[in-house]
Amino acid sequence: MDFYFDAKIWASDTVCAALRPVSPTLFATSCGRFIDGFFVSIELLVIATLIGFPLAIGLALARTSRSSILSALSYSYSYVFRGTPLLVQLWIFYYGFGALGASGLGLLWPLFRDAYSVGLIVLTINTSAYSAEIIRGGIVNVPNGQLEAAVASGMSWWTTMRRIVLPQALRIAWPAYSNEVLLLLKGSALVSTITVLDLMGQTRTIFARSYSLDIFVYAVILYLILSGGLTVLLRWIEMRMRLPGY
Amino acid sequence: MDEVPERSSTGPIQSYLSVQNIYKRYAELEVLKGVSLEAAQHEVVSLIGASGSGKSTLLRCINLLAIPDRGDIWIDGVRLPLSQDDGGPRRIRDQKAVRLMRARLAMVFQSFNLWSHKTIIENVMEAPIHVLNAPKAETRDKAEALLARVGIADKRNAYPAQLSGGQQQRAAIARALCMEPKILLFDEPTSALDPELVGEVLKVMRDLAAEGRTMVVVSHEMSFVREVSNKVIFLHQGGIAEQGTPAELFRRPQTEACQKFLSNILQ
Repeated sequence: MDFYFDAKIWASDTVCAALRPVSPTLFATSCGRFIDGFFVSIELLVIATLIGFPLAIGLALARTSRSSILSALSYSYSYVFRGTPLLVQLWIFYYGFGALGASGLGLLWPLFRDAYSVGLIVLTINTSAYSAEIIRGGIVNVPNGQLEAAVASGMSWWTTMRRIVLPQALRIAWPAYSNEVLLLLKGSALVSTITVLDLMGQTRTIFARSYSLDIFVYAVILYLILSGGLTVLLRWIEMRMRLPGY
Repeated sequence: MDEVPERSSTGPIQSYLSVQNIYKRYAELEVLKGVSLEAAQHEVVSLIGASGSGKSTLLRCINLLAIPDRGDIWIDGVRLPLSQDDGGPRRIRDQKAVRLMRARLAMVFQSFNLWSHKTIIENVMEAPIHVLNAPKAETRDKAEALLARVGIADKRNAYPAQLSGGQQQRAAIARALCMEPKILLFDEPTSALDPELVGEVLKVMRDLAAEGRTMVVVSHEMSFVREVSNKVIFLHQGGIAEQGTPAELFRRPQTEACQKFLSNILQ
């Protein structure tokens, strides 16, 4: 974690020093906040992805399992959270549930009181719902013979999934999943509407104070840097997973 | 007590594998109509017949990849734990017992079905380690020996897609052997192969038969069937039309269906 905080300070110092001559009025006051927002966006994306991905695998397994109850629950979850706008979900979770207050939410209140944690929860739920369908697509596209060979050798359902089906399903699903992660990055800007000061939130604040349109150009550049880095990372993983002979 | 797979004195323990009066239907199509089969230890039983005659389904019933609607299966004196036939779909009563049984009935598939994300040696080691909990180092030695035996030791670190069909099928046989199976089930093991690759797979299978492995083979390779089988079963429209030693069946087929089938295929 120290490394992360050091990186934040370093980025803030170097970037702000570099940009000060370019846009003096704006960055004299706001550069630190701006870089701070950039890191908040990264945090939201990374945490939502790291929690959302295993959650999506679980949902996809439930969806493809023989249990009709598990399958129906997983399907309902995906149906609701894929079928409603992210913006509406954010507002319901933050303003809607928030209105219930400490008395209504009990132990969950600390989670719902804080815009950042609500943003994180909603982004995680949202991406897991989308990713579950993507991974389900991967699972059903694993050739049936692969499963039969596993079952015929005496593997249990869980061993079959863990050792045979998922490693292949994730390879099949990866390009589509990469796309979902990029969509999540862009969708994450919506958390600014529930007062989270992510990159978009900071940009809006700085604009509201300065009326300087430059700031949006810088926001675009930072978003492009983020999505570019993400694309490279996801592609690298895809290449690493590629099997010889295909 | 009903849940335990019983080793019963009433069971046909003289047979190593006993399939008794199996019925199987898929929707409107009745694939098996009361088929029985017995195999003693060290015997090779071959199933022949036209496509759609039910021979693959019969083979898949033996390890319950297909669950028979009626009938029982006994392996080495143990009955596979299926629920009683009450008209509805039958279930596996004891998943764990069935998994143990499947681990001892290795199957070789027409389309090889090697796990595509694992190397050849990983394919061979996978089930012994993750189903039988065999120690890793020992299993690796055994896997290497088996790959050498089927003649693809040099391919151990290749992926299935990098091998020819014949090499893949030999790897699949090594994978089956690494489970130390009681019975080997072959489901048209050479049907997906280019003609020039059939021989190398049949050679491995001949060796297995010669060393006394108990095998049930579905095959269209009549000269192979004739040479290695102790018993040949001719299936026709979901039933056993004829069975006997290869000499009896190939020289003097009794039924018209079998005569027709043999004359077609031997041309």
